Amino acid sequence: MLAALEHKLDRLMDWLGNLAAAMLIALVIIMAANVISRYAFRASSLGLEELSWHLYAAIFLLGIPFALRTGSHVRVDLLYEKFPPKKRALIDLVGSVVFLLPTCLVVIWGGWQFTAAAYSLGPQPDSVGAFFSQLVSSGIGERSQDPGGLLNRWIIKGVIPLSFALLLLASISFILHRLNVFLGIETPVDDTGPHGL
Amino acid sequence: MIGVSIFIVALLLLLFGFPVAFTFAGIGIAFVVLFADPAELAQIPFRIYSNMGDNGEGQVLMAVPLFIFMGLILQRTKLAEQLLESMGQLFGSLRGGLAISTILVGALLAASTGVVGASVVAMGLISLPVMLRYGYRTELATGTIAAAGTLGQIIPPSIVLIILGDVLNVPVGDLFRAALAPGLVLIGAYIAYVVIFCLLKPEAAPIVPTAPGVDRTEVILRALVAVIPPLLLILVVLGSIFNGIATPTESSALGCIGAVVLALVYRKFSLHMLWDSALETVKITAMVFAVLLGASIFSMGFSYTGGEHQVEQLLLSIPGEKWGFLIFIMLLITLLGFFLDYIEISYIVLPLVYVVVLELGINQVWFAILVAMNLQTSFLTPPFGFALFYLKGVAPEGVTTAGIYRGVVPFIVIQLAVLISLLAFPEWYGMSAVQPSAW
Amino acid sequence: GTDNASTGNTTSSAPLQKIVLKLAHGWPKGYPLFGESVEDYARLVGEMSDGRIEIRVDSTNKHKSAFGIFDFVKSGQYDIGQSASYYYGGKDPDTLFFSSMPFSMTAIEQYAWFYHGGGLELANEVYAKHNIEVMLGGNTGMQMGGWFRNEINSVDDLKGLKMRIPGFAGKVVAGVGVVPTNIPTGELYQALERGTLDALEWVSPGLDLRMGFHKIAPYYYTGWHEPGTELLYFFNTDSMAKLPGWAQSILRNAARLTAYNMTTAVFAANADNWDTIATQYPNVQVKKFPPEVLQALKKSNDDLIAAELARSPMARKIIESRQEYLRRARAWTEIGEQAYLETMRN
Ligand code: NA
Ligand code: NA
Repeated sequence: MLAALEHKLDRLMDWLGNLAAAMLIALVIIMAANVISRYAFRASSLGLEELSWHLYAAIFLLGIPFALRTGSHVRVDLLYEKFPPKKRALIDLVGSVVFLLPTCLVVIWGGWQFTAAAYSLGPQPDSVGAFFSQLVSSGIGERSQDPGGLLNRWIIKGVIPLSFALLLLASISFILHRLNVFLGIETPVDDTGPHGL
Repeated sequence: MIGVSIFIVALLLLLFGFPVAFTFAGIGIAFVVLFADPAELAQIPFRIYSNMGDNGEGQVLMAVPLFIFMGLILQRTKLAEQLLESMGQLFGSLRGGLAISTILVGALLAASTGVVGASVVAMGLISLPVMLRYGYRTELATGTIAAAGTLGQIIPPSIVLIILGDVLNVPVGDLFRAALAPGLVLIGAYIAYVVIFCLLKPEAAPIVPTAPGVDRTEVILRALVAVIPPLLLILVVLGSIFNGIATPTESSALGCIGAVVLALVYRKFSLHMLWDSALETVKITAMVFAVLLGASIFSMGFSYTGGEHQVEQLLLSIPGEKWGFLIFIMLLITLLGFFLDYIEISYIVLPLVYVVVLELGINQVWFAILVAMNLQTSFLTPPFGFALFYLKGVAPEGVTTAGIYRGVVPFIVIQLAVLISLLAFPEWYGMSAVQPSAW
Repeated sequence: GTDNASTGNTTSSAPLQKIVLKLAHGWPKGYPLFGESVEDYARLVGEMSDGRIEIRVDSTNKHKSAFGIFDFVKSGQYDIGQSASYYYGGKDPDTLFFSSMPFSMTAIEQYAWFYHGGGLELANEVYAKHNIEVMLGGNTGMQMGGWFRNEINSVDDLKGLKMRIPGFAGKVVAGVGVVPTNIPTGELYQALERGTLDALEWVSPGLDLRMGFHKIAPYYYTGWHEPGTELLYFFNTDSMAKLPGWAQSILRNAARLTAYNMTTAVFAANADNWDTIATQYPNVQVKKFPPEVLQALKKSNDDLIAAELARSPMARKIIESRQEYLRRARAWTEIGEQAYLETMRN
């Protein structure tokens, strides 16, 4: 059952990586289009400029849990490369409990407040229907103050706690795998940092 | 001593080999909880948000994913390899041609971005596999790339010069102009080092072989044909900045489009290649930003527990005489550079010494360039040199942290030598040590 | 921090316990004029309280969030903040009116409105919703219209002009065909030098000279869009309520004095730097926008204000208060200072 959970979580992270990859391609197209329209047609949209940094921020934030799944986070391997697999698994287990999980919890907690502060400003919708109609009409909470800027700042701010909640999920799979390696049930994969380059 | 002790703790814990980003973040959080006010942890999202781009400031870091993407497309389509091989062949029997080519390409990339993470990673992707495949010694390859990648710091545009301009009250344009000569000298010094090193240790840098039976003229012609298109791409990126079409950040998006066009022209484009490159870009970008965010939380653990105050106390013992002051500050920044990132150093140290710089009549532009070169070195100095982390993050299996640390040492020595020459002989670089009457 | 340790609940047990308050401002450490004035404020509060109130000042070097001051104070992360109100127009559009508005009051006129025309009460009415009490923090005085690479002779010259001009003024110029372009501060110089931007507005000589824009964009236009931008001190209402009356009084009155000090300091810096420009930079050409251009900008501004009037009753109340006060104050300015300046010229 735990193996099934680990597998499901890994699929979720892969899906996340693909989502971020799609955002990257969109980012390139939007930025280039904005440059060309500004230079060639002397027209530019602050809304599109803002969309670019929204995409860029979402790419690196959502990429962080995906990179944990693919073993892409850089390590200092002065000693680590010399350790046997079980010792490496132990380091990852302890490191997860001491460093990774607290970081996730702190950023989820703080990020939730940060997002809620942006959401709770101004008139609030009182039903699900009102939520969606306000979302697309005047927006909810904090918005850009530049001409043509985007509404609903809480969405991009909300990506902060979201990405660290996903990182928490990715850590569960990360921990389960190391636990199995430590107990001798599985063989290690992806824990030295190379990623198929 | 709590603020300063955080570095020793980090040094020890990083050695265990848990990912750098989360080790940094965890230590920062622990220090705030233990020695400051845990409620202040609610400020972490504000720090993350400041890297995201609202109100402009974080936007310059957009160059990171875009440069990586461009680098990966060039790598996957073998266009980068072709560029470096051809440049390498142009050097004929002179050894180290690939390393010199890497330095030159690094200099061009440096002229199109001010973000060190972007150029180090792009160079690591483009040229590390090629150099290793041709049997270059790992230390030479990684040292060259790390150093060439940090050129972006001194060659305009440069984020560090922008920050220094702000802190030291000098127009950023003056700094950009003044940084050019030291930047060129640095490039020359890197190349000279590679040439001399390869003369002494020929086995460290094999010659790039040419097809048998092809004469020299044909090799040169073929190489030029292969070199021109990718160089053209870089020049288009640079050109878009210099002609006012795009900002440096935006130009990196144009670079991605250009790389795709090149791939199409060379019939090496496929959707699979594009998607693969995008996916890989996401991983590497996430690695770089996780380190940045982790370091930002770590620096909370330093400054929120009184570390900033301790550095300020240290600065009170600054000598009041010009050369003593300059040498003291340079040594202090070098020392801090081993542990703190350049933004923290600029903001903690410089506002405090600024008044003294004015009082002693020191030329602010010269002083700023000295600091910038010193800070460029801080990217390379172990244990916490960010360029080293980034390079490790994209290096193929078999390239170890220790190898990267060893490889960068000669380049740190070169940096310091050029720094000292700039300190002793500013006129060589077209600068003056004393404050001109009006700027 | 709103616990006893950091805000010092001094009324109960230990009457001489030191009150420690945390202040966040939105500028880098030691930033000329704006940042310096906050340091002055902390020193002044220390002196006035005979050392019983200590304000710990955090700059953006520490908290990294130039535009997070509102959130910091609202949530109680910091007891006090200093920032410009119009940075928060995206959070609460009614905060827009407490910095400066295009074609509106000069610094002295606006001070009269704030202190004697009900302006400060209105500001506090808006900010009370956010658990914040405000005091004035100092004024930039007349801001310049910006640095232009080319001369502006007609409204057509503005069409398609790429300009960095954020916020409400950006909306005004967008109305006449300018392309407001957001470029990170660090890339501004190069963007203007290379023509990625055709123009930008910053502040006034006191802060513009250090940016070096005069070297690359010779046309320096006189102001219209920010005739007197006021900074505000934010106080967390709960932190304030916990303090004894004397401490509250010191915090408010020190802000009032600091605002005056900063306003005169900015005026002095503008005068000094303008002198530098006038005597040492012959290439800088000071220009006024032609009347036709100003008419068009005014029209665009009026349209936007009309939309603001309709947006909310609070916005209407503030705008009408400003407009009514401007009418009265300007009549006196014209007969007072303006007539005097004209007399001097003849
Ligand atoms: Na650069
Ligand atoms: Na302004």
